[in-house]
Amino acid sequence: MIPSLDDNNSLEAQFLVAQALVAASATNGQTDGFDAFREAGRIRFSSQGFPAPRTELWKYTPVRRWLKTDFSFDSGVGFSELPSSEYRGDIGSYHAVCVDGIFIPSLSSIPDKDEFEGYIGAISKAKMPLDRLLSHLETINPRTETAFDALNQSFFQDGLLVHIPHDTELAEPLYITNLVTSGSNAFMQPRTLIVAESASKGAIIDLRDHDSGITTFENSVTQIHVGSGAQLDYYHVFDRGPLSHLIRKLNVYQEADSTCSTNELILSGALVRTDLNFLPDGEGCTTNLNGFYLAQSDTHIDVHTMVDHAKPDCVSNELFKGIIGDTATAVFNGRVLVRQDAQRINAYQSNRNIVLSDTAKMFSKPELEIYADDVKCSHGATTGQIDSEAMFYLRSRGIKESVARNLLLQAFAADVLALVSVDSLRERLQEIVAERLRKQSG
Amino acid sequence: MSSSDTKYLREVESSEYEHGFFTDIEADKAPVGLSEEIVRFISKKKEEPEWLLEWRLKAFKRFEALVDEHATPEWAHLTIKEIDFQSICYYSAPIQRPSLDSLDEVDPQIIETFNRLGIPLAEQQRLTGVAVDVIMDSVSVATTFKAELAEKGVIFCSFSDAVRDHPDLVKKYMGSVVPYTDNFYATLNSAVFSDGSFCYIPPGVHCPMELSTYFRINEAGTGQFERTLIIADEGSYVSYLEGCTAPQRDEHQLHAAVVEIIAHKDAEVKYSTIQNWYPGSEEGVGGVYNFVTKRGICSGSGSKISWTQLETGSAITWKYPSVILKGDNSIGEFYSVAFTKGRQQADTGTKMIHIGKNTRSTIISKGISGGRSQNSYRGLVKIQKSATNARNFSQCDSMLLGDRSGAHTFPYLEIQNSTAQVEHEATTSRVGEDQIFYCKQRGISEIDAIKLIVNGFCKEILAQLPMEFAVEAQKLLAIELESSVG
Repeated sequence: MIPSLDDNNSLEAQFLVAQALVAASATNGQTDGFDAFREAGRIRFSSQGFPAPRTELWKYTPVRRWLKTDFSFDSGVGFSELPSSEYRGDIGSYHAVCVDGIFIPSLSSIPDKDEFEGYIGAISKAKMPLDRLLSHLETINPRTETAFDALNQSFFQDGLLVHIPHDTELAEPLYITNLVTSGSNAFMQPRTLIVAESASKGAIIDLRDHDSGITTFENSVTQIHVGSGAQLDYYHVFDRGPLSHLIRKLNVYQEADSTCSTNELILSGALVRTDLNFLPDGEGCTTNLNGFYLAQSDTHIDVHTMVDHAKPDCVSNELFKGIIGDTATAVFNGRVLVRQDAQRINAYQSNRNIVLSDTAKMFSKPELEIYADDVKCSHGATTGQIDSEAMFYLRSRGIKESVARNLLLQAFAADVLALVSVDSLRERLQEIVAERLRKQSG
Repeated sequence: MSSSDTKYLREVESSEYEHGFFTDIEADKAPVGLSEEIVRFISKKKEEPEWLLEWRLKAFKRFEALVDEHATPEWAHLTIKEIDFQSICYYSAPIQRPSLDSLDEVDPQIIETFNRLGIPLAEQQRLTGVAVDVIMDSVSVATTFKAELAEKGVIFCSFSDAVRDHPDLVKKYMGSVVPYTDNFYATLNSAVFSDGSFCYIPPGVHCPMELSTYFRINEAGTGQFERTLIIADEGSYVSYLEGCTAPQRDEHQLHAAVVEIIAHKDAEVKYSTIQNWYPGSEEGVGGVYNFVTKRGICSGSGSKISWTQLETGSAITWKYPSVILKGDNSIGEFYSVAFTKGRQQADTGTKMIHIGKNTRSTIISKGISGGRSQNSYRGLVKIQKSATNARNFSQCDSMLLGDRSGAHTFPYLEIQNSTAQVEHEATTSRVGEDQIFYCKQRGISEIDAIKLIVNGFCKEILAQLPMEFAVEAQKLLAIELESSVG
């Protein structure tokens, strides 16, 4: 099943060679406390290997097609100044910048201690005890493990930590700008850890929008820990342009009575595969996961979501919408799992798609897996085109076709975008999406 | 839920299989195991022509290769104990092979069996006008109403007879919808199929009666490998019924049938199934493995194929009756109720492959799971590039009757055309406390209330069954729910 790992020329073998170098240079012969963590990742990766062509979870994304053997794992030329971003607007005091996953203080602006008691900075410099750090880094739900998060783990050097202490609130939304250096065929593996302690509150916007015009490949892992009674809003924007590749893993772990709301916005890319996993592991959790994907030209977008209801009395709401045009492909695979004895779960999932051309493809796979009886779970999935009656209504009022089309597509996207609670981000997103759709409608 | 309520549900879960008795008829058996010799033995025993033997051997070669690759399908949400294909007997036919015209000539024991199942064959024929092609194990022992069908030009006979009398038709259509390479179990069936039914409706003929076959698995340790081929020629109509019950048995019985349907221009085929094979004991011992490949092709424009199934039996069900919508304006339908209890496992659903323009498909699936059973819906809706204006609506509802049971939904929607409209909805819930309360305060007992609610939940599907089948189906569901409630 797994392509022979003994074969020194296999894709996996070449990654493992690079991994050995990275692991050695990270510690420089001495331990940095993460050796065991890296090693565990290496073992997991080498036993799994990259997904084989017929793996069910990669059915519509034969990922090997995009993986090359001549990737470079070193950072290229850095940034002397911060590139502009249409999503960010003015830089406030809550702004963390990472280049190839490494936190860059000189480009960031972090509130001082009087204003914010928590920590925003490099994982390696965090004051959090190492064992706690490791336990947060290691909380991967075994049900959702992939070769890619193992690979990321095996290459771990440093990453970004956002720590919001108990009963603390982020005064402003925190922007994280993720940049990739301009090395050729760079394969970068950033990692972000967000720990919102009990009763804390905050909004975080994770941006991957800088398009450097060259081929990039990111294998990113983001882990979020939401403490009991905490409330966290998390947004992720991917818009790096037609040469960018992203394999992304989001793991959200929720304690009792916490609320986590996320919105995943994917607007471009050659390949984007995201695995969004939520584990509400306490009673009374609320999980909102929303997303919007716009697949144009020959973009391949694959969104996998999993809500693993491990404990009773939780609610999850899921809404993902997509517009697929040109020769693009989009995949939505949403899984809702209710474990045995996780009673009184209300789980809703909805996936709506508009396919704009006959060369575009949409694969939708909403799944329910229920092992408890006192639950209310439902999902719905639709794929269609612009409502011809609505179109006729607009046309009959003298609105020309391209404008009418654009209006209707905007309306389709509007309800997901409206769920973004950060006003400035929402307004910018609405404008950007409208502009993209205008181009699409011609 | 109140305690009496849970008690009732627990009893429902544990309700024993009613039709577990064994008919003692002598059988002519092949030696246990699978080899090229066995395939040749079956073919020879059935006096088959050379071309069919060659086809079987090709399938057998393929099967051997698949076994070597360990290519048993593992993607389903099922836990299947490894099957030893060498411990199965691949052929068994009742010794008496009479060619009969009337029921009087049929072995009285067989008649008795049907009577005990509550299917008085003779009466049913007269009252309902159903021609029954009785399959006892693998060989057809009685075919009735042949004369009336022959008058209309309808061919309805056992598969072996069809091979003998209508080789051109069999040669032309066999394997055209489910090729021998299709999947593991279809390949096995192609190599060793024993018998089955064949049905041909000539152009423009509205088949005057519902065609029905009662399958029975009978001989201990005998795999049952049926093959059914239904061809509806231009503008014809046929409704085909298939119902099954099986005697109680402790060892697993493998059933890997293949059903192929071809609907030509403007033809309509309605295929209904009631499946009530032995599900195994409460602890999950024994029971039938039901691994079936059913597929129809709407090859001509304006044709229609409709599958309706009520699945209550079998230890494991792995079954996806599908429709290939090739002809323009063709229609595919799938209506299903799957009831699992004890330790039963079901992974069932459909595939609707839209190829032609303006093709439409409807999927309505209801799953009810109790006990420690696992009940999954798995369905594919594929809209190919050429399928302009294709339309699909799917609805999959699950009801849970116990807190140790599972209900799962795995739809696959693959759309490659911008004019397609595809909708899928699924819900999972249990029998509502408020619904039971409502019934109880109107003097309806809890048990009746649950029956009422479950029946209402399935009504949409049962209404699709032909009249006499619908009555039987409702009875069966009620028995499943009530039999052990004292």
